[in-house]
Amino acid sequence: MLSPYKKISIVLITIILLQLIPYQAFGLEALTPHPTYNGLENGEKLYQNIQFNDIENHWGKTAIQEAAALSLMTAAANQQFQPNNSLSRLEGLTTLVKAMGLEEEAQRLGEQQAPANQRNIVILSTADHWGKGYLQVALQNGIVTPQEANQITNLTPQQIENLQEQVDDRMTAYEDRDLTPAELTNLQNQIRDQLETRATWGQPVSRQQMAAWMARALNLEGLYANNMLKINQFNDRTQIDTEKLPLVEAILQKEIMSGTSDTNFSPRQSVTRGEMARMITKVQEELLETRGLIKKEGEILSIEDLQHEGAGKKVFTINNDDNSKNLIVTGIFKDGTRTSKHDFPVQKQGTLGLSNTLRKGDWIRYYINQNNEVIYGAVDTQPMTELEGFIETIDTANQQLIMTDFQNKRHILQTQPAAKIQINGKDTSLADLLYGMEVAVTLKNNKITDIQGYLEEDPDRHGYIPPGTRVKVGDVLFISSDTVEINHGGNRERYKITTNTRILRSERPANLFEIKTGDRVMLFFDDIYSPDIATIRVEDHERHLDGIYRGQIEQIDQRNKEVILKNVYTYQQGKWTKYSQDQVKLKAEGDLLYEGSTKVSLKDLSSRKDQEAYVAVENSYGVPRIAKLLLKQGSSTLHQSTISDIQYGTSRMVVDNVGFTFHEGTIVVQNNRLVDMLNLDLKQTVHVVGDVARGNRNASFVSIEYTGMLEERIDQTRLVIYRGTVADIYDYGITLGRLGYRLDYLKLEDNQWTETSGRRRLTLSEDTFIFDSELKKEIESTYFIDTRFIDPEDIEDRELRRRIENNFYLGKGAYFVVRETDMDGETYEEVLALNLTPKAIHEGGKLHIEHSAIGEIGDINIDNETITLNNVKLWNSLNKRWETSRTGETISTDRAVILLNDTPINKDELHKLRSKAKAYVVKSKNVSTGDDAYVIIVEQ
Amino acid sequence: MKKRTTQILLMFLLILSFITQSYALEIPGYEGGIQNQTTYKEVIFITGEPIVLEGTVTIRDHGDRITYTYRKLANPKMNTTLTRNVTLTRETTTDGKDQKQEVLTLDKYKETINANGVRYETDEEQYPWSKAMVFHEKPGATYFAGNWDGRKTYTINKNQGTVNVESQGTVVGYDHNWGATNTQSIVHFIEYNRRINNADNGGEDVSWEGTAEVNVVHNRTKDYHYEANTPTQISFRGGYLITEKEENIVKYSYDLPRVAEDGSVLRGRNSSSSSFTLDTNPINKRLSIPTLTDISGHAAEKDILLLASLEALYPSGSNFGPSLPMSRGEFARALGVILGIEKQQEETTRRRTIQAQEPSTLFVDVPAVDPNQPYIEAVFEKGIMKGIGQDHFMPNQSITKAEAVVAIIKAIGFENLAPIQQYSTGYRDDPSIPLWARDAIYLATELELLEGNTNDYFQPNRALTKTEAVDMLTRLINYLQKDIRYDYRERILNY
Repeated sequence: MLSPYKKISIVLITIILLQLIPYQAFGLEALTPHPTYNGLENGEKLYQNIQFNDIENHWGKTAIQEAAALSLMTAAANQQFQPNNSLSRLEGLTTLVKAMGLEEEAQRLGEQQAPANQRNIVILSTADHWGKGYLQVALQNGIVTPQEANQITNLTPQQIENLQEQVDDRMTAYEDRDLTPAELTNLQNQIRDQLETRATWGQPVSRQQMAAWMARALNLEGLYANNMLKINQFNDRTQIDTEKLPLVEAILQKEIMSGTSDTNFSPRQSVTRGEMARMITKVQEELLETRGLIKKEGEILSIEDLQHEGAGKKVFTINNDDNSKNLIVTGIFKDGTRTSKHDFPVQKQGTLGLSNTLRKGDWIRYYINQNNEVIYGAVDTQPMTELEGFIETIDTANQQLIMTDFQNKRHILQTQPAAKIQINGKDTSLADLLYGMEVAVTLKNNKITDIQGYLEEDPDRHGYIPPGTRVKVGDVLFISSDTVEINHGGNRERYKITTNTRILRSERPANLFEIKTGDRVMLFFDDIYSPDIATIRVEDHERHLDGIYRGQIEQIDQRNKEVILKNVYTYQQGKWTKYSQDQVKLKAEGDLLYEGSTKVSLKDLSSRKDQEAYVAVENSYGVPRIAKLLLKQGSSTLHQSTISDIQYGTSRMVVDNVGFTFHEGTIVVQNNRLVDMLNLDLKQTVHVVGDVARGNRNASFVSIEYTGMLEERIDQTRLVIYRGTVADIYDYGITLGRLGYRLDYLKLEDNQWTETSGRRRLTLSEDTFIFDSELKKEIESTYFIDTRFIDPEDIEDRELRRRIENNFYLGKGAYFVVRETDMDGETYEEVLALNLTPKAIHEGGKLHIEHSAIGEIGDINIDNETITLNNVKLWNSLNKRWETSRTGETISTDRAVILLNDTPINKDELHKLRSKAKAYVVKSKNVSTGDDAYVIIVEQ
Repeated sequence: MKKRTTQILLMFLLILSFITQSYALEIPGYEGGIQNQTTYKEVIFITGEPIVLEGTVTIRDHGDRITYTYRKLANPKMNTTLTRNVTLTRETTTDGKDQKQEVLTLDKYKETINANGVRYETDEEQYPWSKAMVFHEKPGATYFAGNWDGRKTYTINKNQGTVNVESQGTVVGYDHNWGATNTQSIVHFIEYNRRINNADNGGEDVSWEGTAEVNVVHNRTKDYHYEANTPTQISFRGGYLITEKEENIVKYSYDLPRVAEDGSVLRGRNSSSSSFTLDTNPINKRLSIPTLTDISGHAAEKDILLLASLEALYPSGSNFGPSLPMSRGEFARALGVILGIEKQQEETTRRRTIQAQEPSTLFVDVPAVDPNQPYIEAVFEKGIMKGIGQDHFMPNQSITKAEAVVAIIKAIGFENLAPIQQYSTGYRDDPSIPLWARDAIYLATELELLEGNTNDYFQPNRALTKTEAVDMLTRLINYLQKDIRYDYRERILNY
């Protein structure tokens, strides 16, 4: 047989469980990540029960409302709290037991001891039974000591007599009822019990007694000796019972009670109900955990109306002071046929109301019971303070901070667990705050909710990056002395070259003119905004083209990204030559595959088998790789001439009186590099392979022939070669003289020697390479610059010594290799190399026996000091054009000065020349020994 | 050999099946050699000319000890052979967070070179050597760098003289789900001193100096291709294929003397550079075939298909909704799949207690049955994305553009590379970009992980659409595949 309370609790539990079900189905979880609480079921009823009409002007109004709302104290009569009535001992203990969450236990205890009623005569009410329970629980939990209980229940003989009289008086009412003696005794006992309790526990409680009980409920240790700080200010302290004094001190220190005046504690004065309400609101804050309540506080972020199953609800979103968020739902909840209303009493500005008095932005303190119901909320006017100052100490373990404000006042501050901490607007943690850092701190409830730290900013370092860490990679589309334009991810981007720009290739300094269109460069910047390039790194020869192939597609391997070509021809000197291998395997990792002007994928190529294609091939770490591929369409023609007309808008050009269309897919090659079609220009000498398809002639492959080694270069320098005599030598200078009586000195212009007149003084330097090609000996420049200070004994070679001593070279012929630099309108001419040719003096007439050749370096034989040139072109001075020589040519270098990228090299340094480097050679016909090269200019 | 190949294949399969972040790519042969499944190659300079040797190497890594056994390294044309046995000891320390340091020392060493009848020998007594490495493990990638120094002395024909080789090496690289690169640069300075015994004139002294620089790149690449089916009457049009292989490159340059047949030194120098490559055979993996009905002809169709094939996108039905917002859960999954980070469920416990208990999850709104759950938890645990509130991830909430970019930059661990203090990202709505996202947006723009240029509006607080997410994520894949490799490989080899 279940007791009715058990039944009730089962029903209650079922109700709670049932409530959880629609709540989950309701699925607020889908809308919010935050814990959701409901209003208290029947919260509206509670609100009605605690509306008192006698507290309006009472000083403890808010405390009374709070104590009542938290169900710690109830009405004394209908709608009355009677705040000024004195509090009985029983009421005091009941309130404490409730605050400890032992209400149910107490009531059950009382219920178990309740005697059966005699024939429907009710003497002891439920309140009396429960009262017994409360007393017992208070005793069991040590709030009341047995001694105290004894003292209170110990009545004087006079009191006992009075009590007996009253009992007898009450019993007369039952005399004429037909009751058995046992029943009468029982009734009498009940009446006595009731009256006894009223005379003892029902008497007003003294202040010192209440203090002791509260201290015990709070588990406070009594304070002795030096710890007694507050009690001493009261003159009436001597009236406090000895054993209660330490507890009164503890309660005073907790600020739960204070004196009745500055000098009096009035220990024996009784406590009013209003005072009790004020005290219990403080006591219960300490007992929340014991009672199973959760207290939270925060700002109401939003209030939304929600319609669910035809019922209206309100959803409050609260941003708690620990930065967590909660939802509170009030309104009508439906579960099947059962409907319940959830709400909770709210105290706002001293007035009690329901949740509908809450507004967005309110700072609410609210209490949640074990059923996840909000039982009460209070809107406090929360003071929010701000402090500014400097950090002194940070204690990350305890989440504490000591700071000094601008008034030099120190503050020890506690941070909220989830306080927002930022430095210069960026989220960070407490550990990242630094000693001495300027901070602005926001405090709520004396705890830090927000720290804004400021690190001093140097306006010069805004956007600072370590120099050279901003990088752009791309192919050079256009380059001049102060600008480079690159193709960066499909966009054309332009950057500035300044006098501070460094140029590097393979970790070696390089000249600006060594950067050619089509080179891939990495541009490094020191600043995130600046267009000024700090460093240009040029990719080495790895990406220079190895050759141009024409062949049929045999196989495509999409996974390995490979193309196999068959029937392969290579392009050489305007001719297609059969390649040595029958089939060539090429890597195809890039995406420059074209069919006409449209890009195609490797997959598309797999359905183009046997079709012919033009392929520009580069070397990728020992493996040939496709740089660009264009499928051949139609029959092809080959032309070699200059571009006589070009229109970029319509992409048409005229070569050899034939019109060609060029397009995205056209393979344009210059200096062994793939270049953009916009690099085609008027008057360039080009080789064009054109395909005729459907009456249209498309340029498939255009090779821009290189002729410009002696032309002005992008860094506004140019190399000039003179043929003349040494007219005068003086400090770091040399004057160019006539070759003969009827022949002035000559200048190599457009590959032709042209007679030039006028006094020309050139600068010599320590770095000028001076060579006697007759003796095949290098002359140290210091000996040559000024012979006056030289001890000829220093010169080992006898013949050379003799020549120097005798000023032999004056008036003798020489090749002058001069670098002209245009600087602000002035031309600076420095001799890079001087090749002295004492014997070959040309008297009279024009020279035709010297001629120019260009080619690519092939083999180098260091022992014989010869260089083999491939792809040689000879200058035809009659037609004024380069003519292809069919064979390679081996040149003896023993009489030549060699310049590699403007730097003279001697014969032991021939190994520095790289194969395929472009060379310009000035040769002189020599009937007996073949051609002698006098000047070799190499660019690589 | 078959067994070896199988071993290597097995290793690859392991890598493919659960790509572990701790798998650091090692260059075989700490001295700058490369290998594929069958061959090992390296270049030596001590005879005075570069000689490329080919053979095999076996590496056994016991954790604290690594052994290298080089077998039958030879160059028949140059009449040269080499054998070498190396044992290194390794000490590892970690900071408990994302860093790991290694110190390697030479324990045992034996090397013999026979070149044209001249015998060069050295051992650990003649070879002080040490190497230090540091690994930085970021959520989506591990970066590492290291240095080593060594001074090796060879004896020539036991008593004819010595060759001193001083070497400095630097190592730098990364390892992530889409590839790994390990670049090693080694500089040698060689001093050669030999007395050639000659019957005619009693002997001749030969001495020379030379330098050589060797750059070695070991590269693991992962590539995707769309394979269309040839027949049209087939239930699916085509699908993606993932191909994984290793590319190994040696590029070297040198400045050496010219050495004659008899060992004497000729006039002039021998300087040049060269390179060679060894690739492994690719390993393929077919991806699942997604069936999506609403993306045919969409501008990003191929990219959407790729991500769906990788199961980075995991639509529940047959619609994708390219212009709808991307949810946080979907984005976390996509990022997790692309970076190869997934929370592994403990198999054993699951097997033993069949359905007995729900597997525990980190977030109350991400149940274990959610297909995105392992990725959401991994992405959260790696610190790439944050949860919301207590125990919630809000997988169905949309993600803003700024949040997505921050997550991507955190994933690749570049959050500290941005400029300091105030700066403009260059976007027209720069002032509306929140401070916490500024660095990531700047970096993503610089690395071209974002579409468009900075003259546009960025709209940081707008919800990211699926098309934009697909664009961002494919760019991330391409960045991890190619752009980052360029910085580690070409920049060191070619500039």
